[in-house]
Amino acid sequence: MADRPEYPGAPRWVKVAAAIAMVLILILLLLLLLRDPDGHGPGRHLSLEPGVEVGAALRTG
Amino acid sequence: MIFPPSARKLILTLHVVTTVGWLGAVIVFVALAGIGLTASDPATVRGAYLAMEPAAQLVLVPLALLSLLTGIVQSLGTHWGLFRHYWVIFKLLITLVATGILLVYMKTFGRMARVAADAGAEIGVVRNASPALHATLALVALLLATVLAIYKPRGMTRYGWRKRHDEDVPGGGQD
Repeated sequence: MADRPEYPGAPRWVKVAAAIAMVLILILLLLLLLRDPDGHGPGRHLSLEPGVEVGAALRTG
Repeated sequence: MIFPPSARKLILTLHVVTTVGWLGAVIVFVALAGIGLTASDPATVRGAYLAMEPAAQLVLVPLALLSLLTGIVQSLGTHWGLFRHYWVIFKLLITLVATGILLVYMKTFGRMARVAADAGAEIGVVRNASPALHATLALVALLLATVLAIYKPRGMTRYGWRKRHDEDVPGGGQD
């Protein structure tokens, strides 16, 4: 039986895409932590609560 | 298990139709979100946010789930497999994340619709930038998944590499 050839490893595009994905996840997590001191879920700041005017939300950050 | 050609074509047709349909529906949501943010007529603004929830329930969610399901079935029934090629894994992850966020976001659609239906709510309160952000990100993600599906960039996983070479051996590598 012939030996299996050695695995050549992941191509460069996979490594680049994985690195970009990790950076995006990290940024998202940082945004969640920085904007969400009360420990609410992402829906709290990724969407405006009813009664919060868009302009007011943007002004207050 | 590799499907016969007729079954492969049927599943591929369903997958392309549901995925491209989902992409088209997201483009409509980008337009709706833009209308909600920029229209000057209050009735048009309220209408945009009122339409989002039922449209998402009737179109976005079914298409997303069907796209995910047909994609998984398609990959398992062909030589591509689900975990053999990196492009398939990336496409699966994009679809899973986009579907998950959509399902969670259904609550936000409901909240925005309730605010839009409240005649006492001022139009500045009804307007919401969140759907524009989410729909744009969804559009980018789905375009990326489409590019992956068309170009199929090379690269096998370690598992795929092993399976392919095991299958080259007579009697080896049964899925």
